[in-house]
Amino acid sequence: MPDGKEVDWTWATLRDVAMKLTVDKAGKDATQAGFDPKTTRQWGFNQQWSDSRGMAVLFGGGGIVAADGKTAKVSDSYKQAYKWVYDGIWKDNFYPSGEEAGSELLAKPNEFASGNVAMSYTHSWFMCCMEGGNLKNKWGVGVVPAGPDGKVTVKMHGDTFSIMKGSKNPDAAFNVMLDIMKSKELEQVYGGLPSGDAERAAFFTAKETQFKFKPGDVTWQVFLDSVPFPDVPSHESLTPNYLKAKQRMQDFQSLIQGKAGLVMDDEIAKLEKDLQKIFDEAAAK
Amino acid sequence: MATLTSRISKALPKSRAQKREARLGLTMLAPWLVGLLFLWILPMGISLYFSFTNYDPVKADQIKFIGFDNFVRIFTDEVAIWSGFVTFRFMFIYVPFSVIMPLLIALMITNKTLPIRGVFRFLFYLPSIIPGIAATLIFLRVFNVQTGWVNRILGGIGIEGPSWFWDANWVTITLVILEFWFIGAGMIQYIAALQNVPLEMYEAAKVDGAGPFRRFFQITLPLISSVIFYRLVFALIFAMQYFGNAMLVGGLSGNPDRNTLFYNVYLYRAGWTLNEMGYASALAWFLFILAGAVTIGLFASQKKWVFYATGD
Repeated sequence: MPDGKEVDWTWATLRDVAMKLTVDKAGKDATQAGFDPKTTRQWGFNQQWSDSRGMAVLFGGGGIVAADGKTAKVSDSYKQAYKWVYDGIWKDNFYPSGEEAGSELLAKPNEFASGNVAMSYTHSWFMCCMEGGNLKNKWGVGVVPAGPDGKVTVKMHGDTFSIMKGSKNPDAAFNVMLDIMKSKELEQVYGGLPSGDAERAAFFTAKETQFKFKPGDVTWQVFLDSVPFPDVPSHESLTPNYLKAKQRMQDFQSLIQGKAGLVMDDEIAKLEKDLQKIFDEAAAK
Repeated sequence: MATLTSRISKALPKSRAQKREARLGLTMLAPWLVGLLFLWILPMGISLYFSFTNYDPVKADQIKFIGFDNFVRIFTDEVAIWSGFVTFRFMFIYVPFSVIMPLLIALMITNKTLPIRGVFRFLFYLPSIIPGIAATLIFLRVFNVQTGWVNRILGGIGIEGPSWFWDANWVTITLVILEFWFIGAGMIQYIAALQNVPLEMYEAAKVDGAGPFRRFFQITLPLISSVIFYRLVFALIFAMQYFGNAMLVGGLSGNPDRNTLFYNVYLYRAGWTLNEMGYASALAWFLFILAGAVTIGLFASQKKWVFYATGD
């Protein structure tokens, strides 16, 4: 902490640090009396390019579907995360709202790359898009904090390629897939952390070149050491009536980021009810 | 029948020169006719067909005729009804604004006591040449609560500006304010109409002792009523078709809290995000029928209040 005291790296600690790093026009941070959230110039924390399922992976996995695959159930860890994010935006003021995210301060080119967000929780593929703002190469990588139970959960995108059952040319599609996997150039363009050990070193070296880092400037090992802590079930798990459910989740995310004064328990209950309707609709077809 | 046959026979080209001219005319029209057929009539026909099916482009092989189910669904779909309300609320503010505001500006600009009228006319018309989407993207920043110029200026005079695009109470009004940017076309139409009002009528009314308000309401308004009628039809249809700015401002979720989830945004969302193309087609046709009914109603009413110099 700023006073030199060592504390556990938990989401509660991150909240405290994020508030200290949130600064208004007058230079006051979000923990100080007289801090004016309407004139915030720097925010402490955000989640970059996460959908509403991804943004809930703070305190554990769980998802929005019960184990039976057809009941809408926002997991307790997700509920806790939604409330944490909501308080971060509207009570503790360290997390930018939807409107703030669209301001000149954060929209160019995106929130974290603008250089006006101190910490951002995102996927490694986001390194694609950290240029063009004030951030330049002044950033590093840190480990994800632990939840209240002491467990660390890292939201992970395990990207895989598949060939549709109805594909007219499955063999040709398979060859294309192999070519994509073999091509070093395409791998860099794709931007995901390679699954093979041998390719990972090259991936990090390429990133160092891209951002003009010297070896050791960024602790790349964080990515590798985070792999054993994925969110289970994944936030990208199979969801019935996916397109409609996704839209409803997006509406929920917009609501959280756009409206103060919500009773989150009520909103989550409404969300579950609507999701159930959406899931039932798919089951009835 | 005989009359019709004789009229058709008269209309048909007779001489070789006339026939050549007719062929040339049709050839010149052909590109437009092809466009009309393939880009307008055919898609409309297809969408009408889709509106009676469960068509999902991803499962095109499972298309099924479902009768009027999609149309019935519109009346039981809470979100569709809400999107209709959002559109109507916008229409309620926008239509009077779009009809009255350009008229007031036109009256000001045609007033001979106003100096440099040409400059004002130019300045009011100038924004109309900027593409609407570009202007809205700029205004998203200009009206931003955190860094926008509007709130900075208001703050400078001690007024705390609202959250223009993210406050449910303000967003509809802000969208109407954005339309002020495009007021130039309406203003020009009114100026043209005002300049066509015969001056002798004003002079005669003055002689009869009519004051400026009476002259305006009893001479000016009736004589420009055809332009008012045009503006009214245009504004109603525009409001019913409102889409682009709403998408830019509120996205598919209709931020804030579905207050920019206009009917057409919902239609787009149904068709292009949720792949419910059958339902989206029904929504589109329902809007088309509604817009048609409103327009027919307006045209029927014009006999009572619109004055045409030609007597039409």
